[in-house]
Amino acid sequence: MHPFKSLQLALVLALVLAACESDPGLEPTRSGFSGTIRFVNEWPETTDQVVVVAATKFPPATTSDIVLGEPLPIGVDSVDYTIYSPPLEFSAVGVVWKERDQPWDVTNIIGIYFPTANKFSPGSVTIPDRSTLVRGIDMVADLSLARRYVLSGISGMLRVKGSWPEKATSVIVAASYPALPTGLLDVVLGTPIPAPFDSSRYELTLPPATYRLIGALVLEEGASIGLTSLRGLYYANPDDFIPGSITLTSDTMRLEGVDITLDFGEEK
Amino acid sequence: MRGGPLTTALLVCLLLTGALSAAPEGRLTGRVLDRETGEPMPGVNIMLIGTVLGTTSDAEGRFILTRIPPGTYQVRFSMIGYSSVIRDGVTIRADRAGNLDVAMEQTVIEVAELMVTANKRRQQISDSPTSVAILSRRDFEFRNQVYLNDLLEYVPGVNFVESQINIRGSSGYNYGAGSRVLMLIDGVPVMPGDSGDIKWDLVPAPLIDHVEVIKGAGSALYGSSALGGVVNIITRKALPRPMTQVRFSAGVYDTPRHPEWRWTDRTLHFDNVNVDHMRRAGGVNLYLALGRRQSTGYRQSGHEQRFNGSIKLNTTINGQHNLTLSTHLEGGKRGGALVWRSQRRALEVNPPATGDVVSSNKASANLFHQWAYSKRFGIKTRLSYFRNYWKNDFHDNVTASTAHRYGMEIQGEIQFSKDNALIFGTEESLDRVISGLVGNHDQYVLSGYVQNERELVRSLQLTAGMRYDFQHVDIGFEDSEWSPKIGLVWHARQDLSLRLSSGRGFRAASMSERFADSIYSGLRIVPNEALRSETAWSNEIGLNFKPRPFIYIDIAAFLSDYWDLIEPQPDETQTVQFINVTRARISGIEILFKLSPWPRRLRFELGYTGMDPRDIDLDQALAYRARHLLHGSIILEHRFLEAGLNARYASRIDLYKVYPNDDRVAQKVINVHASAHFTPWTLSVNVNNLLNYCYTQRERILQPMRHYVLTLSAVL
Repeated sequence: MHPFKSLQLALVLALVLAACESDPGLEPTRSGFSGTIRFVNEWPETTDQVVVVAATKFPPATTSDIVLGEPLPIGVDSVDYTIYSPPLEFSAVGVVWKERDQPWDVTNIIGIYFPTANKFSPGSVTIPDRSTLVRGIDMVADLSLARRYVLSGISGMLRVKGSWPEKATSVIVAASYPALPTGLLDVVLGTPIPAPFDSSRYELTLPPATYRLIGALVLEEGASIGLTSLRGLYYANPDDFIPGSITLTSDTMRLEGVDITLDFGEEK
Repeated sequence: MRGGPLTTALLVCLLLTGALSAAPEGRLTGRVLDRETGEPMPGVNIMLIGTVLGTTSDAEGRFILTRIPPGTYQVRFSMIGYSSVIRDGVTIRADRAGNLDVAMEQTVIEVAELMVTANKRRQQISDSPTSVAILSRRDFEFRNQVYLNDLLEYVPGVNFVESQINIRGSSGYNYGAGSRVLMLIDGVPVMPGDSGDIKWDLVPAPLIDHVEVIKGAGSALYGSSALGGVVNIITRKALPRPMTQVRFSAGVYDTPRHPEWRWTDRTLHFDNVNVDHMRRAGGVNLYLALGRRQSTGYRQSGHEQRFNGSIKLNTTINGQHNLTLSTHLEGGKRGGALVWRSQRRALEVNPPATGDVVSSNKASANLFHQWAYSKRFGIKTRLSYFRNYWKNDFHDNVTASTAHRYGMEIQGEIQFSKDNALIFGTEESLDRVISGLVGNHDQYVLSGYVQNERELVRSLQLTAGMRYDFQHVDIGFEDSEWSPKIGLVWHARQDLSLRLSSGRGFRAASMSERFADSIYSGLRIVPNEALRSETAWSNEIGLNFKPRPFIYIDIAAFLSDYWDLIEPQPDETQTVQFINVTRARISGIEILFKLSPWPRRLRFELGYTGMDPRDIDLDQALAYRARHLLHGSIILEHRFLEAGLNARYASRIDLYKVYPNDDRVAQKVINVHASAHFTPWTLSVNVNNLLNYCYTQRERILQPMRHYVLTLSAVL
């Protein structure tokens, strides 16, 4: 090969290498959000992990809707945390508890970030760019809300009266400990059931307790979850005026026939 | 049903060809030398064209072919790295020995004349109607990698997502459950019955002679799993020449590029030792290999310690029967962490998982009998056993599984004439799994296949074949699949051939996909006993062109349609189930260009594959597929020195499935190499991932950073 050609080849290679060298590829995430979590009540003995979860959709439909933080230290009263994440808009940030030898259940929420007094509306967190760390996302995690794995729960039919709202995407059955829940943490949420439907069977796993309000929340595209999402309640008898309550007395007790009618009236 | 039709066919063939074997016979002897050095060449394949008769040259380059019916023959001499030699008009007389000495010349570019077994019989690569790529020992030595998957990344159209091979985007990523590419060792399927994935560490690179990568659906000959292609590993031959080879390599990992990722002050290192020996003892050629690999890993919980051993015995009886027994053993432990702690701490794992360990061992044993009953008719019989054991000792899950696979194949080959060959056979396999993950299950597969290759008109060759597979799973699930294929090869000119092929492929669900019932990394996996086989049709049109001895071009356009692809589907309860979900189409082009402007001194290679992998149901990109793959290499040789560079690029993956919000980048990897040969020693240095480029192939596993490898080897 001619020496000049070798030189050309070496020059081209050097240029390619130099161009590639300037691109590091993947980099550590430097953006995200941080805050302090205060734990209240006793740590359950079966605690395996507690993590901060940020959801791009609330409630999340699949694992692709959530970003899981690193495991937090167990047995502490409070902890400062940082979640590193690429620029995203999170609809909700919460603390999720995981029981030993059980799979993750992202509905096992023991704390939610509420920036205002409205405990039905989780605060959203926006990470604007790759260098911003949003601070002050503080939460209280109530360890008494940690739900260990049980077989007990309720099931029934969801029936529809009237026409579905155009933007309805799914329905979630929820059970509240008090008759008038003061916020989302008073409520055990089920998993989303795709809408619309004429009727659908549901199952909701619940730990033993008395639940004074059982209802169905209709999630609509672009709208946040709140009390206005409540479109149907469980009544022990169809003629009752007061919503029915149920009591589960053991880990294995299952109640059938907890039916709920979604009443949309004439709404389109 | 079992073997009945085959037995009848074999008897008919024996009767038809019996007269030939009873006739007086002659023999052919000779010697093969290297034209340049005059040295004898062991291991050269010698075939009588248009027959099933053939042999291999010994340590002195000598060969002897016996029991040849009198007549005039064409004899082909072939070996990787050398131009094939064809001698016409070789006359064999009864009860007399003919003599034929040849000198072979090294090729400038070796691809065009390589012999492959893609169609279950030896043929030139330019005669194959589907694309076939070859990795030779020269490639292994140049790239100096231990595991085959690290080498296959430089084959056009092939890329990896972790350990899962994609041929033209076929596989995506299934978390190790099932493979859409079939792996064979010396023609025998080696896929464990439980996970159905490929165990790349079973045969380390030093044991491999060459690898054939067959692209596109190959189920017409190979059955389940050959949906996207086939990787056939041809292990080294047991030659009679006494030879011992030792190879020691050691290396260190560089510090991570970003300070946030530095997780230890230790020097992270690895080393490999391989020793192999071959000789002739008591009329048997023996090949013995032992190896050990240990590594701290480049990331936390990435450590491993592995051992392997292989024995291969080969003998020829009466010049008619060739018997090969080979066994491979591999075992050890490695860290078991599946994902990183966070992208902020990408080389660490979550604290509970730091002690997670996977122990595993594998054993395979194959008995291969080749019987040249007459010059027109041969029978090959393979008996095989494969055992795969693993135990996950994880902080949240301790599971073990043992999978046994018993296999048998009987294949007949009739060479009606030089241009008309028929192969047919039957294959049976039994998978028996005892597993904490999938339970205890048996699965039985019975198959039959037939394929004819014939010249339709001058220079136009037709290949047509069909295979039937019947699968029975112990829960009562049964499935059957017909896999036809057709191919045309037109040798338009001596330097130009065009090919066209269409074939169906399928993959039966692995037991992991069908029966897995466990909690894995915090996700619950539930069984789906009704999983159907996924199927595909692969179509290809291509050409290869060698306008000058130092230029080689291969171009292909392909279109593959997939039905019922089996994918893990997480639902809203964080429960994962494997279901038949996707109707998909992958179309694309592939170009391979080889140039050696300064023969045996300077070599270039450039390969490009462009694809459009579409999920037709969802009208979006298929997950875990790159659209553009590019690889290139330059090798410079001068006397006892060799230096080279190879690079590969895979475009940014459009879609991650489990964590779609994770950052993704293109893959850009450059490796450099230099070596010096001082007979019998070779010293080489490799710098892999020269630019210390940081990338992932799937979510949350960073690929190795820059590392330096020093290797010393000797052939004694």
